[in-house]
Amino acid sequence: MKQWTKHDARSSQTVEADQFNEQHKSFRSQMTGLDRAQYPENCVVPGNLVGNAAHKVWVFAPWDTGVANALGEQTALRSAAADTRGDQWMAGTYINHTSGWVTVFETTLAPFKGGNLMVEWAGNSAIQQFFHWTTNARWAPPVRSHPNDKYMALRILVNGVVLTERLGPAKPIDHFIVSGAQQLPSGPVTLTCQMNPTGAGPDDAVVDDSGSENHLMQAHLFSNRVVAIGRWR
Amino acid sequence: MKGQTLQIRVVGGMQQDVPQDPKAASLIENWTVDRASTGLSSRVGYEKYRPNPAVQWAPFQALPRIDSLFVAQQLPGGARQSILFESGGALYLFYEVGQAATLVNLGGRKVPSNTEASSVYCQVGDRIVVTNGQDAPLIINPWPLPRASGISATVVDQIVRPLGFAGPPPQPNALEVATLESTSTVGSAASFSGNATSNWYPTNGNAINYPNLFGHGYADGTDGAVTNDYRYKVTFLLDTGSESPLSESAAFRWTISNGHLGFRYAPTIRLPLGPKGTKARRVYRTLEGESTYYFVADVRNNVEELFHGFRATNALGFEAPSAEDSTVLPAPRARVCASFKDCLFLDGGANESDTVFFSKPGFIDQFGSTDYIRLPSDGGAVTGLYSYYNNLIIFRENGVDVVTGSYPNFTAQTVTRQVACRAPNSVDSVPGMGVFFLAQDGVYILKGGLDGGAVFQVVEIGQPIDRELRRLTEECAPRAVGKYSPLDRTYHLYLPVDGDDRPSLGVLYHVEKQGWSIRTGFPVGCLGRLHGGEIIFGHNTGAEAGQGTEAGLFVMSAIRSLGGSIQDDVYVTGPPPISHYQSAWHDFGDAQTKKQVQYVTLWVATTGSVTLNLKHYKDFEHEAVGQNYKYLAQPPDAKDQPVYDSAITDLDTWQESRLVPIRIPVAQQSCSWFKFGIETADDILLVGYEIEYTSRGTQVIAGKTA
Repeated sequence: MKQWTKHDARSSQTVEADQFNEQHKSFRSQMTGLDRAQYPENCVVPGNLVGNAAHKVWVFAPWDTGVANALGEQTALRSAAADTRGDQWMAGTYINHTSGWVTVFETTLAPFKGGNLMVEWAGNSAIQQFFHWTTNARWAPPVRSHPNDKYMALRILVNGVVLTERLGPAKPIDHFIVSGAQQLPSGPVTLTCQMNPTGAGPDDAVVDDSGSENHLMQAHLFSNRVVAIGRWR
Repeated sequence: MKGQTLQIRVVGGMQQDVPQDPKAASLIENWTVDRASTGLSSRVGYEKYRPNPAVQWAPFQALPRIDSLFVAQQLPGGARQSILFESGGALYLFYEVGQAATLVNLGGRKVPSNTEASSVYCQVGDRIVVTNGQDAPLIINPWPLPRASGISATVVDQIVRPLGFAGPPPQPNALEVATLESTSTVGSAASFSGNATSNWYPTNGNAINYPNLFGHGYADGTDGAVTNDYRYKVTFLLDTGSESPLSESAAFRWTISNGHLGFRYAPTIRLPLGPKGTKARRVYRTLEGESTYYFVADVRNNVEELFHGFRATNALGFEAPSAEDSTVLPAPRARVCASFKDCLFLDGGANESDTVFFSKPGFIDQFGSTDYIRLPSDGGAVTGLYSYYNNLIIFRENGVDVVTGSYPNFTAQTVTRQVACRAPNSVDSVPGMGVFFLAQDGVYILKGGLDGGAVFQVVEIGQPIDRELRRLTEECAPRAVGKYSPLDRTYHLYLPVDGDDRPSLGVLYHVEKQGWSIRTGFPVGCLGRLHGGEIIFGHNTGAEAGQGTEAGLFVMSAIRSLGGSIQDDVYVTGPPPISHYQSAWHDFGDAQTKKQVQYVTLWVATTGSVTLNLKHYKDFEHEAVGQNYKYLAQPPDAKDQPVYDSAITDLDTWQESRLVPIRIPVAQQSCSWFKFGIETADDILLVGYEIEYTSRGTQVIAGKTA
């Protein structure tokens, strides 16, 4: 329903809650507060905004620091050096992961004042791509081989709810950007980044044949950045 | 030296006669009552009905003044709110469903002269009746409508139609009954070639089952040959359920000659088509050779032309209505209308100006020929009708009557012959007060009733602003408009003054203050009330004032501007109204003792770093003794409250308005009477004030000798 002015915010006038609410209530089903067009001219300039008054940006560089020998690598599901071939990463392997979502990065965004949250997760990934054909899948006829696609699904969750989910990189070495945005109420926001690399197929090698049976890499993330932008007013 | 103090805790309404009540004000112009403090707030203004500046005045840009306005409510929550208005000789429906903004022209209407009241609207169920004393009364059904782009001329045609019946239905056309010839093989008569039907039903049980169910008339007589005489009449049923007068009859006669016996017949009539709004046609007929009509059947459309009277006599329904039960619209030039006790009341218009007609209850198009009240002729013409509790108030040129009772036993009584209202659109009821209306000599309220021993009282309430009301252009008083708004609990009355032919001064009665204020700069032509209680008005000049000037519908709101204008093709809001407050002339208890006023302390609710501009006067002089005392509406002895433009978002907190005393020293020499005034275009909340003065007891010298 159409509404007309209940409170005309003018220069030099007290920022009065009752007046604001009067207008706010009349628009309750339509918008959240005074429209910028209802402010006095030049009412909101950098001079009268404190930091984070209207928005906040968080930048995370997971695994850059804080973990010994991390070197920009994921620390979740990382095999020990002793299990790993010398020419491969200390990565997630078929031995320490079979299937399912694994949290690789989690943090709390605060203060979040309610409004729009945009999250962008960018990085590089490596996945084991050599065994991408199989003949022994249950559904596969015996004489023909079939695709055994390997990829690494990625998703971002806010407060435990999926914000965005992608099939993810499907090349041995690839880069990715996953992003999503959502309106959220005020309060701390738990931001979670998860990966789900494809499990081993029936014909896949999971260890090498060197005799020591070093674990082969399944998937690996490196050089990641997570940027979150909260906008409110 | 500490002086004496006169304290006015909450300012009152205007009082122009002197000496004044200390609480009263000499002038309250462009203020409203602040709900939080019951003080005066200058937060008034008006804005476009369509707030979007990009649309400028569309779709009203070409319309001259809006002559009349009505807002119909049909569903809770403001859904199906329909705005009807007249401008430039046309009646419009403003279609705004789904963000549309389309003017639907419902047809031409006479533009009221400056001395005539504009159209009167009355909502009855989902219909709206419109009368203006010149054109035929209309009945409008503003819902449902297709999408704006689909409002074709055909759709418009279905929205509006004339009220009532212009005449009885045309006589139905009787087709000849072609009887059978009883030969060895039964066949149609060869001699009938058109305008005849032969609907026959054997009467012998050996021929068909249930031989007596269909057809009518004698199949044979005691001595062989027999003649059948029947008559048929029809009525129209409108979409309001109203039934028209009976048509002239269509007569049938057929003879069954000896030797051709054994068949009944169903005669056929050609039905007339009804006027716009006809949903069905009802057929009546007599018994053989008689004159009383009985219901035969309803034809539930307005399309079919042939009707076969197959129904046997023993299957007929109720008796047809009498000639008194429905007649042509008795008031084809009705000026005013109202809904009361489920009946539609119309005045008789110019030709029968002291008569009111009422419809059958629930059937607003159907008027019985005896359903009218002839009012005492000394009251003059009916000028307004208003339903109020258990009464219908009839405003007349020279008095006020009231109708009580219920259909058909309505009776009229005279309330007064001393007060009259000639402005039907100024009448509105105010909660807890009564019915407000503009009379020729002021504003009155009608309160009370006639039930349970109560009496009607006509009380003058406009006396405190009589000087303003005397400015009324009397000949144009019928153009005055008034409406109560629950949003500001105020009765808004706009009247033409100082020779203007259209409303130019607003006078407002504030229920919370039990007092008056005035409004200037609001170009009200006519008033309506929206679902939310906002007062909507039609512009009093519109495009008459020139291309690009304000036109169309506006809403009174808290915006701090008076409308707007188009500058370089861009909509620009207007300047805020100037609000004036002038206190009463205070004599501090004794006018002959001279006083020295030292301070005026205004009790204001803080509104920020806006300027209070005070001036003061003495002894009824027009020139101020001192002026330009400028103070901020901030707490005088505490930190300034943050204001827009300088408040730091996320650091400063939202504020509450605080009641603070702002003490203003005034340099006033001795006076008998004192008053002060405030003039502002800023947001000010004036709650009360104190005046501090001293007196050495000096008395005014003796009057000048002649």
